[in-house]
Amino acid sequence: MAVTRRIFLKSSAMAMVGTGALPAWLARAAYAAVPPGQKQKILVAIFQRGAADGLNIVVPHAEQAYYAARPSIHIPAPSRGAAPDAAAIDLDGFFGLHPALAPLKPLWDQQHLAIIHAAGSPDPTRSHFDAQDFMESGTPGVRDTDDGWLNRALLVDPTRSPSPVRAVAMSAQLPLTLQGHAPALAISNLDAFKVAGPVNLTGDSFEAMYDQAADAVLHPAGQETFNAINVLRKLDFHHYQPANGALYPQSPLGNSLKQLAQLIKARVGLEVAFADVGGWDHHFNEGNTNGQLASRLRDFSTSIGAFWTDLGSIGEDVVVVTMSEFGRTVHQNGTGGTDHGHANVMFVLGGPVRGGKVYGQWPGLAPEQLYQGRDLAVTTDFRDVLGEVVDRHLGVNRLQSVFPGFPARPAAYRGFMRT
Amino acid sequence: MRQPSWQRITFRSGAVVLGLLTAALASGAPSTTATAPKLSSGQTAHIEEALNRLTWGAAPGEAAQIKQLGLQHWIQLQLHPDQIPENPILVHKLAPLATLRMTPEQLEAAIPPGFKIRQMAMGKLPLPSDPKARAIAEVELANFRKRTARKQDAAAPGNAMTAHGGARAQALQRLAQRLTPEQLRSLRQGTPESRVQAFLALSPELQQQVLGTIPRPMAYQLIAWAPVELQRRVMLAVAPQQVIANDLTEGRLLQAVYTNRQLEDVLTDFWFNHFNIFINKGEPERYLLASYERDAIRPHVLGKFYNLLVATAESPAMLFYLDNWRSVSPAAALAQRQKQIERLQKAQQRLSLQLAQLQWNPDRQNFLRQRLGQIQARLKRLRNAPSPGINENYGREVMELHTLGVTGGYTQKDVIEVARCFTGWTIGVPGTPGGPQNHPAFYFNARLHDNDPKTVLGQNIPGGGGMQDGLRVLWILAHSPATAHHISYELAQRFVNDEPPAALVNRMAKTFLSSDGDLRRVMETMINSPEFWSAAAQKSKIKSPMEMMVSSLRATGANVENPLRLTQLLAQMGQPLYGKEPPTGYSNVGQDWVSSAGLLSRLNFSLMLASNRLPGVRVDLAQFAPREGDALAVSGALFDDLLDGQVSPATRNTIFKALQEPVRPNAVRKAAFATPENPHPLSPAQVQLTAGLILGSPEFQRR
Repeated sequence: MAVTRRIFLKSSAMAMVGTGALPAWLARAAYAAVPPGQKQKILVAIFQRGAADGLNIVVPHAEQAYYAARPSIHIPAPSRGAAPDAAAIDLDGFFGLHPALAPLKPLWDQQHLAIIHAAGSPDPTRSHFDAQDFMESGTPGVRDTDDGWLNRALLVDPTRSPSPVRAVAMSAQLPLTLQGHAPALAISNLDAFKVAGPVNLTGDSFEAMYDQAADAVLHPAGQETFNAINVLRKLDFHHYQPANGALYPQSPLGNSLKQLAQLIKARVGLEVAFADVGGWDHHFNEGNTNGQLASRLRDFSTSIGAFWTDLGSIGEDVVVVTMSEFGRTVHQNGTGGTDHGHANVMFVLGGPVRGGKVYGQWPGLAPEQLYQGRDLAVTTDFRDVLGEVVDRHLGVNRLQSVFPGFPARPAAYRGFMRT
Repeated sequence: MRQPSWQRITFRSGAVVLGLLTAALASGAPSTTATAPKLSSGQTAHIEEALNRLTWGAAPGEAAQIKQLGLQHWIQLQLHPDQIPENPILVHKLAPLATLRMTPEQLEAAIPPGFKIRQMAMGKLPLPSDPKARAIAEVELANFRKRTARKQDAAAPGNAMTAHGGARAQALQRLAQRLTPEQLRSLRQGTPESRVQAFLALSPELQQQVLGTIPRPMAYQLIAWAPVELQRRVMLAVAPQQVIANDLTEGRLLQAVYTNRQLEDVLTDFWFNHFNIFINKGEPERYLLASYERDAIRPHVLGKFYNLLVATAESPAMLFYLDNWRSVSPAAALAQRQKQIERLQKAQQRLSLQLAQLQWNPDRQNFLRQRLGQIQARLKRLRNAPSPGINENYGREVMELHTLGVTGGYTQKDVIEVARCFTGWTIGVPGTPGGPQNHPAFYFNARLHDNDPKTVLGQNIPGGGGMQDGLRVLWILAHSPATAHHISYELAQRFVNDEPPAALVNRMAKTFLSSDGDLRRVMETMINSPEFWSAAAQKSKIKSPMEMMVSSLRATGANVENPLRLTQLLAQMGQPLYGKEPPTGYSNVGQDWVSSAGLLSRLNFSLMLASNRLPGVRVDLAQFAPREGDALAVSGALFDDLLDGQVSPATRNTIFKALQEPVRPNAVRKAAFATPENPHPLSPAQVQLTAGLILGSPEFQRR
């Protein structure tokens, strides 16, 4: 299985001596930050790694089969009189949110949060590794795709202003979602995104070395990095105060979203961003309204809630989409957990979202309705969800280049984006 | 307290090490039968290649040693690590990390796990009698009580912060009672090193008292710059369980930097990652990991794959990590539960009868009523508990990740059948219901095993096999051509190229199958292949953060006195030791490690290491840079020593250019030894800059 994920060799001439592309200083000069008053559409993708249990996240509480399948790990149906954290939070009489997602309920009420249930990949794999790659590359079933859907979305319209911080993943490594021909950064800590020491000795020397390197991988990586440093080093990320009283949890996801909010507010041309959060693979002792899943969800919802609060009116131009590689078995397993399943739930939230509604077609949980007799069936291809977002929000309408081999079909859009 | 400068002994005692190696060879080390590379003209280049790819990176003087020994002999020795005497420096540096040598049981006795502390807090378990263990338990008990109190405070909003701050002030006050104002000041102010010195200047009694009252932030400031022994003493006094994790990660790093059995260590890293386990899966993992790596992985990395696979399958660490310890046959578990219910029902009847007969004795009656209530509650719990059954986690990953590979041709049905075969492979986990032993050890629980026939990958496994079912599955998997290919591919990907040549992988897979999965033979096939020594394989891999860090430490002959900060840096670089949560482990693909964040962390690490600004690490660059000679000579020497002289003109020119700039406007070149013959020597700061730029150069990021 050949996995070459990075495509650095943009042109052999450039790779050899660094000519053929813009010199770093010229690239910097050509880029101008988005002027005040002009709006930048921003897309944030959040990946829940490990296959989150969608059925306990957005609970089909009107389904008797759900309760029959999960005697000890179900979320009780909403009822008057029940303590607020002891039952699902009703959404529409059929679905309810896990109580640990309470911080997202205001977004739902303001119609900024849309939910797409029974969404996922048509590929049958139950391997985390394969399924994450398929979802990140946007090509289910094709193992050797070496770039990600979000990176390809950036390539569709080459006339856009090439800000060096146009695409950012909040992580130490660049995720497959953002790998590809378009420059994309991985940043784990904004405040430390610089070279230590006197810049004329250390930073400039390294910049020159990597600029002149004949290394087809490290040359472009260095160029991307130093272009971004030159934009970011003028900014103060150290003394950041979130706005509107937003309180981020002290967690990796909270930290990622807080830094993304900083980047967005800095108006340096950020267009697409990625954050991931692990710990969803609950084969054992998953818990119900409390327990392992509940604590992951608490972090998830308070992080996203704080991000939304922090953005304030900027949120009008921001869309967040969440995904996880596959769902989990409808039936709980023999150890109080769930095993690898099929369809899952996706959230889309933001200003331009037509929220307050669960989209998609509910396939049902009766035995004959299950995928391979055990899992929630996929009724919405995840590419139709991501396609609608990049098309309607980023204005990328040549979807055949974003999702090769997948028919572009606006008719299949679920309609959760305002047009 | 300060150790002598070790690096001289470590890497410069080539003659001693060489002597030992030669002795080992003479005493019957196997001679190679396969064709090793021809080494006449390009011998030096081949030695550099071997050091780059079969070790964590060349140490000073190592290439010369190998040249003297002969590359083939060196390779054969690396393939037979038991014949290589271990580096005494490593043994010395590992000595304080005591938990690495303990069994899980010993470790649990020395540093009690959380469930024991809870029992001690409730008075259900006595404190350990051994004074050392007792002191540790007392610290943990105090922490436990503090946490409980803080939780209660947090429940009353607004209280938590003030209570917390108050405790810190109290601790400082208590310290002030024991120390003179100067002593307290010198512990709280000054450089990190001076604080360590101030602490060590106190009498042993005072040191103990300080450790007993020290506020945590002050403790953490002390430990990064302290020698390992002091770091552990401080941690044992404030957060004993953290010592287990620190010992593990620090030991791992020290081993990579200093072991003479380099190939075995690189392979241990490879195979641990192949059979990855996450330290924070749950408390037991922390207690099991030292044994897992030491007993299940390392002894087998050049042995038979089947033995390695069985060792991991039977390891409590893996059984816990991939949840198999709770996977049971639903029928067997229900039958067992039914028996329990019947037992309780009988007891219930007996008690009811006694109650009716005891009307004259109200005290006794009350006691019996209480007992009856307990039994009824247990019955209710048992009847309402979800039905136990299988867990697919291990059944899937043992095929997808450990053996066949994701394209290895298994189905969902196979996953379930394999999981059924492993029902009853379990451990006693402390503090959990159903954990019959008080320390986590593997055992096969026949009563919870699914004894019906199964079919795995088309092969029939007859009923009644008991533990043999699981072993049979492992045997089938270990001897599958898909496994041979998957393992060979991964090894070649690690040691040769991100996309290894198919012909090489096929030859390795053939060796795997014909040698009953002999991993040493598979490695020999790889090392003796033309592909291994081909130009396409040279410097083709981007180093992982661990490879980058360890190769820098080895190249500079660094003396790692306290690896704590290094392990933290490695986590920031995206590769925390024992810290990869999913079972896939870290990527074997070098290019996956290239990112802007990754690159910056490498550049900054290089500059800090070379200028001796990393706590706990000392580099003596004077050993490389000649005192005499100008920038050209000095940087030339550094290029040779740190980078085998394989440096591009661009990098060379950039560094020269940097050396023309004044390093510090007023202190330029004053520190150096200007003579009439050598009017422009490099200052120490310039030597450091040169070395930092070399370690951060594109050339050094590859192996």
